[in-house]
This record gives sequence, structure tokens and C-alpha cells, in this order.
Amino acid sequence: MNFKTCLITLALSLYTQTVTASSNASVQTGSLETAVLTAILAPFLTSAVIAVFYTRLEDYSAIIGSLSGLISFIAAISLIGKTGVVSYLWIPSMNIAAQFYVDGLSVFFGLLASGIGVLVFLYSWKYMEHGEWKRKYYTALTAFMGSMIGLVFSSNLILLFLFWEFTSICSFVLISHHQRKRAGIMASKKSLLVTVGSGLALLLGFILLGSATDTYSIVEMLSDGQALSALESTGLTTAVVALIGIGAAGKSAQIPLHIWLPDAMEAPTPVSSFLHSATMVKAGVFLLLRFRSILGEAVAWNFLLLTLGLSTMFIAALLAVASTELKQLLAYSTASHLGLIVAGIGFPTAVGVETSLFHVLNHAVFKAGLFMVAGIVLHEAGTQKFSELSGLRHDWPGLAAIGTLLSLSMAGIPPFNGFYSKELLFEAAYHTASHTGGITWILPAISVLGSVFTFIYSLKFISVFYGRKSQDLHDVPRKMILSPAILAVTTIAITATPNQFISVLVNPALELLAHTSHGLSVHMPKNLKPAFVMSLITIGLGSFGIGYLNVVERKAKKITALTALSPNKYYFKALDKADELSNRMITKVESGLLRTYAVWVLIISTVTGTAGYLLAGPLPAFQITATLPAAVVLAVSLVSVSAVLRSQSYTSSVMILSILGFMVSIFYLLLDAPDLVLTQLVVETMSLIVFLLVLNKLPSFDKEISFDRKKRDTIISAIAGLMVFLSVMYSTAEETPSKVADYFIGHAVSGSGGGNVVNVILVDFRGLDTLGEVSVIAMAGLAVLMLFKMRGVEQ
Amino acid sequence: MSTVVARSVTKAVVPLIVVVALSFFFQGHNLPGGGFIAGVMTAAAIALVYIIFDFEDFSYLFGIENKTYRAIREYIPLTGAGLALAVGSGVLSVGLGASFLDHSFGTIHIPLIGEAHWTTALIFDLGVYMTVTSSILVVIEVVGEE
Repeated sequence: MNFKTCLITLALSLYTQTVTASSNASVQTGSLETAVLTAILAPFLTSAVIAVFYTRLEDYSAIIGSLSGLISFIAAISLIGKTGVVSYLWIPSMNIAAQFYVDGLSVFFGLLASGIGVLVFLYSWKYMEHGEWKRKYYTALTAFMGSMIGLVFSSNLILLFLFWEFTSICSFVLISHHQRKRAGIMASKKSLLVTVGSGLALLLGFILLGSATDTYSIVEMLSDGQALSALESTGLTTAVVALIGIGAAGKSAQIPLHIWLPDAMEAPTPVSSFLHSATMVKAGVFLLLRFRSILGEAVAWNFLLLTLGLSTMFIAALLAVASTELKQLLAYSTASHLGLIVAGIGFPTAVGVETSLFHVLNHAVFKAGLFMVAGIVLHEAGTQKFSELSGLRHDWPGLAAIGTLLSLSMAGIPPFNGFYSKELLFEAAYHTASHTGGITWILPAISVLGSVFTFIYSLKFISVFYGRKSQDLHDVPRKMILSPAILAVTTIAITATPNQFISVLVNPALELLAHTSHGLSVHMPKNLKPAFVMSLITIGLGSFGIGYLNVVERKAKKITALTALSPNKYYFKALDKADELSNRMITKVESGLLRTYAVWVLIISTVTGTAGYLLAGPLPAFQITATLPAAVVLAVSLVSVSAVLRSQSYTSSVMILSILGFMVSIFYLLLDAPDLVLTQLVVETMSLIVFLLVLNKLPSFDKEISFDRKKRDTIISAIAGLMVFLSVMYSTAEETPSKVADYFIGHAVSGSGGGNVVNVILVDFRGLDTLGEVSVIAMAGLAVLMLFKMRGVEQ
Repeated sequence: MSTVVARSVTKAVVPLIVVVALSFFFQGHNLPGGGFIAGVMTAAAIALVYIIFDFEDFSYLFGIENKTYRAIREYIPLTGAGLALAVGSGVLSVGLGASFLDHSFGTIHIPLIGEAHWTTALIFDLGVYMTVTSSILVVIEVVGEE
């Protein structure tokens, strides 16, 4: 047996053992912890294994990744119907714990992420066979799966944020998969700027929420029910809702932050299928669902999410109709469907959330499958332009069947599962409108309009399979068609027995709304309810539109080409402006001259420091008393300072400056600080030596300095000196000896056995600081080495 | 720049500085001193040798025949070793169940000397000492070569 087989066998046996262990554990009590940790850690460990052993594993990485997804999936299945909290101490002093919360919602999303993951890895096996950079690809993809699962189970806001950002980073790496292509780099940069930028808003929202409610634990916020009132008493509710909304909008591609999603299609298709349709973009939706129970009563909530969701649904559907490529269409369609889901969360009625959850499931299944279908077309036919493709069903009947089935579900045509969730949206919209009246009638209207366009682009997507045969194609590889086929079968299963899926997956996730929801179940409409009428209108208008597809496309293109409707133009304009600004700043700040750097550092530290002291209040009263020896030392110092100003050569100024340094050390001696004296003396000696070494390298001394610069330098140094004076006054103003000093003096001997309190602080109480300082010294040494040696290399 | 006087004084003084530095290092926990001060002092002693004697003479002094010898090759690993030692002492305390960089201490009876105070902080301080000495010497040698 060679090494590769050996390793794979070993990995397989390990996996089977973990699977049995986790499924065994799930029947025992206290198994929650094992299952959650297995679900999160399996992909991460696999990611590490692939990163290290890729050269041995090669394409088997896909299988191992798929297996790790399967383990997480099984672990998540074992959690169905359970609730509980798993908590580990992490940074207790800051209320941050590695806390995981298991409930219907997290299990629902966990199953989605791992389940789709299994299929995506299987699909990648063949799709990536002749690809490049597969080590990076599989490592990032497994790490993404782990962080997505971690995200949905996180109960601590900070932990959630970490996983959240980690998914963004994985997405960044995967979008720039073709790292030598400019388009890929631009796309990944855009996605990073948008998702991480909105992630920062999210972090701010989390911190505001956490400090207002005095906890960072989602479970605690959910259980005590006081979170919203605590937040409202601080008057920050709208800000927090908006910040969390921005975070979710960035991730879930809501207008106007949707611009990164179509560009993200530069990534290999399995990535688009996994991250950019089924899971990562649902993270924002997950977040909103999570926080609906906490913030849903806030006034801003409904308004923000309904506006955001419905406008995204409508505009993105329009963009999808206008698109010219398969994956581009699917990307806009994803944004549009996410809009539908977000709008659902914004409806005040329980039906809205039910819509969202059910549609998250339906959308993940059909959209992941459709991306895989588009990927096969791109991979095998070599193009994904609508204008170059038609009649593919003649060569690929199976693929055509799968694509058609999934598309009809996306279009919301009865009896497919997509129809049910669309029906629920209509119901929620109609319900809200008929209750509130007035302007809210726009909600059902926009829902219908958005759905009409959804209908049109769904049929546009499958138009590539029908019509005249355009080219001869060889068979689709079986390995590749397996995953979309499984998803098509799943769609059929959900279509056939929607209520089974709802009762197992969706209803437990609705537990949080137990007081308003009585459990969801869907049925084929038997009479003309308003929602059904809206469906009929949609299908009617859609069929009409399909007949005039060319006209509709042209109109859609015209509308979407308007500058005001294209956030992309603003994005690039902002990018250009930022470039320009930083170019201008660089010439001012980084001139390459040490004195420029010194000026900037002094100005900024002085300004910020003075601002801090202004906030701290007036300067405490002080009086200066000095003993005779101290007065003498200070007098000598003053004399040496004035002598430096008059000195005519570097040698003399360096020498005189060192007199100043030695005076300072005598001053310390007078203050009974022997450690400081020693340090000051040795450091003074060392700097003198280094100065002397570089002395003859310095430019000549008698160079004329302009009067203006002298004036500027004098002012800056005077202000900096004043600032140091203020610092000393403020920091010594506290009554002496201070509490801190008392503590250290009192604990030095008992806490560490050392009699020299200065040294004890350095090595024991504040050992970490010292470690940092020592690292800085080492870095400085290396930096000097590099500066001198690299200069030689460059020349 | 060296005269006979300077050379003779240096020969006499350098060992003394090193001994004083070491005593500062060891007494640091209870009396003025410590790894940082001792480190800078040791570096100063070696720098003195550099200035008064040439690099070649310095190599000869330490019995190194190769004229192209560059001490940097030794200093950089020493910096790394120092940092590793400092971090390692912290990791060790984690391994023993305490928190990072938490030190233990006590007294030990050594024959002929008597009761002596010991602390694991000394290991940390040794790391500081090594890092400081070697980093400064790197700077001096690089700058001095120019």
C-alpha cells in the first residue's frame, strides 16, 4: 500500500469512528455539547488536514471535505428538536464567552450549511478536476463551512461576529480563486469592502446593543425579554436596528449593497452555488431572524426591512431579466429572493417569518441546484451567454429536466414548492395591507410586480435548453450531475410533502415566535383567496411578458442603466476618490524624511493628548518645590539645553545632549529610584555609542535652514513640550501614593517573593507588557538590519 | 582610534562590566537590576571591545580564526532564543495550570551558600536579557559596519 492509500484509509476510518461516536453520543444525555462541537470542528479540522496534506490527497480532498460536511450534517440531525446552551469561558472580564446556542433556528441553518456543503464538495470533485490552486480552494471551502456552522450556533455576539467576518474572508479568498485574473481580484476586493465594511457597522451595532443590555449573550437577551426596553431607555434603538440592518444587507446583498454579488460570480461555480446562493448570503437573513425576537417590536424594524426587502426583490428581479449570462442572472435572482426573505422578516405578522423560513429552505435547494446546472453548461459548453446557447436538451435531456424542474420551482408555479412560499408572501403582504390600509397597499403591488419578473427570468433561464440545437456536445459527466440531481429530487420531495419538511425543519425554528405562530402548514388553495388571485395575476402577466421577452429585456436594460439606479458607479467613484486622497496624503506624510515623520507624530500625539486632557477637566492645583541638589541638577540641564541650541557641530551637540541625559539620571537618584538611574545610565551610554557610530554619515552641519522652518519647528516642539508637561501634571495629580502603587508595593513580596517592586512589576505583574516591549526591541534590531542590508540589495 | 592605554583599560574593564551586569541580572528581583539593565550593560561591554579593537581583533580575542566571521549570524538566533525563552516561561506556567506568565517562587537551601531565593520569573528575565543584548549588538554591528 502506498502512502496515499494508507492516508485515505486512515482518514476514512477516523471519519467513520467520529460519525458513530457522534451518533452514539446523540442518544445519551449531555450529548448536545459533543454534537455542536463535532458539527463546528469537523470542517475546520478537515480544512487543516487538507492544507497540510494536500500534495498527498489531491482530488480526494473533495471527498474528505464532503465527508466532513456529512459529519456536521449528522451531528446537526441529532440536534433536531433539542434546545440548549454550551458555554466555555473565554474572556470573562469582557463578558465574552465561547457560547453556543442550539435551537430550531440554528439547527435549521446548520443543516442547510452542512447539507448543501456535502453536495457542493461532491460537485467540486469533477468540476475542479483540471482547475488550479486546489489546495487553497479546498482549504478555504472547508473553513467556510466550519465558520458558517459556527456562526449559526454562536450565542455570543462577539463570537458570532468573528465567524461572520471569517466567512467574508473565506469568500474573499474563493472569489479571487483565479488570482492572476484582474476581474477576479477586483471582484474579491469589492466583496471584501462591502461585506467587511458592513460588518464593521454590525460590530458597532453589537457593541451598542451589548452595552445597553449589559450582556453579549443572545440567549440571555432572548430569555429575559427586557433587551428591547433596556435598549429603548438609552434611545439607541433606531441606531442599533439600522446598524444591524446594514450588516445584514451587506452580507445578504440587499440594495444598494448588492453590487458585490454579481461580481462574485468570478469564483468557480461550486463557490457561487455554496456561498453566494445557498449559505453565506443567508447569514444576514439568519441574523435578522435571530434578532427579530429581540428587536422585532421596534418601530424602525418593520419599516427598514420592508423597504429594503421589497425594493431589492423588485430591482434585482429587473436586473436579472436584463442579464446576459446564466450565472449573472442567477446572482441577481439570488439578491431578489433574499429581498423576498428579508421583506418577510419585516412583516409584523407571523406569516411573514414563516414565509422567510420556508423560502430559505426552498431557495437554498433550487438555487444551489440551478447554479450547478449553470456550472455544467459553462464547464461543458464553454460559454454561459444566452445569445450563444440554445437547444441543449437534445444532447443533455437529463440536465434539461433538472434545470426545468428547479426553474419552475423558482418561478413559483404550482404545484412546486416555490409556489407555496410565494403564496405565503402574498398572504403576508395582503394581510398587512388590509389591516393597515393606505400607503401599505404598495406592499402587495410590489410583491406581485417582483414576482412577475421572477417568473420571466426563470423561464428565460431555461430557454437555453429549448429551441434549435446550437452545437454538438459530449455527455455530461455523471459525477457532476449527481449533486444537482439530488437537489432536484429534494425539490420534488418538498413539493410532494411540504408539511413534513415544515414540521421537522421550519416549525421548530419558529419556536421563538410561539406566542404569535401556531405552526405553519401549507395547502393547495381550493378557493379564490386574495393570495391565490395574486398568484394568478403573476402567472398571467408573466406569461404575457414571456411572449414579448425581447421588449421586456430592452426596457429592463434601459431602466437599470440609469446612473442613479447603479450603485456600482458610486462605488467606483468612491474608490477613485479614496485613491486620489491617499496619493495626496502620502506625499505629505510619507516624504521619506525623518523630520516629516517626527513632525506628524508630534502633531497628532499632541492634538489627541490635549483633547484628552481637555475632556479630563481643569488642571489640578500644583506647586513646584525643589531641594537644593535637585535645583542644581535642573539648572545644569537648562544650561546644557541652551548650549545644544548654540552648538556648531553634531559631535558637540550629541555630547551636550548626553550631559542632559546624565543629569536626568542624577535627578532620578535624588528621587530614590535606583532602577531608573541604572536604566537611564546604560541607555544613555548606548545611545551615545550609536550616535558616534553614525556621526560621520550625517549631512554637513552648517546647511542653511530656512527661517520659516525654524519657526515651524520651534512652535511644534514648544507645544509638544507643553503637552509632556501637562501629562506629568495630570498623571501625578492623584494623591500619592496612589492606589495602584499601594497595591503593587503591598503585593510584591507576597505575590511574587521579590523585594524590588519595579522589577517585580516588570517580570511578574505586568509580564505581558514586558514581553511586548522585548519583542519591539527585537523587531527594531531586525528592522535596522533589514534597512541597511536591503539598501545594499536594491542598489 | 585606539591607544595602548585604551586597549589596556578595556581589557581590564570589560570582564568587570560583564560581572557587574550578571550580578545586576541575578539580584534584580530583590535589589536594583534586572534583565533589561543587565542586557544593555553587557551589550555596552561588547560594544566597547568593538570600538577599541577592530572586528578582526575581536574575532582573534575570542579565538575565531575566520576573518569574514560576522557575529550577526549568532545574534539573530540569540534574539529568537531569548523571545522563545520569555514566551516559553509563560507557556510553561499555563502548562502547569496557572495563567500565562504567572510565576512561582520560593527559597532553596544550597550547601555553603545557605538559603537562596528563587523564582521562575528569572527564566523570563533571562529571555529579556538575551533579547536585549543581542538586538542592541545587531544594531551596533550593522551601523558600525557602514
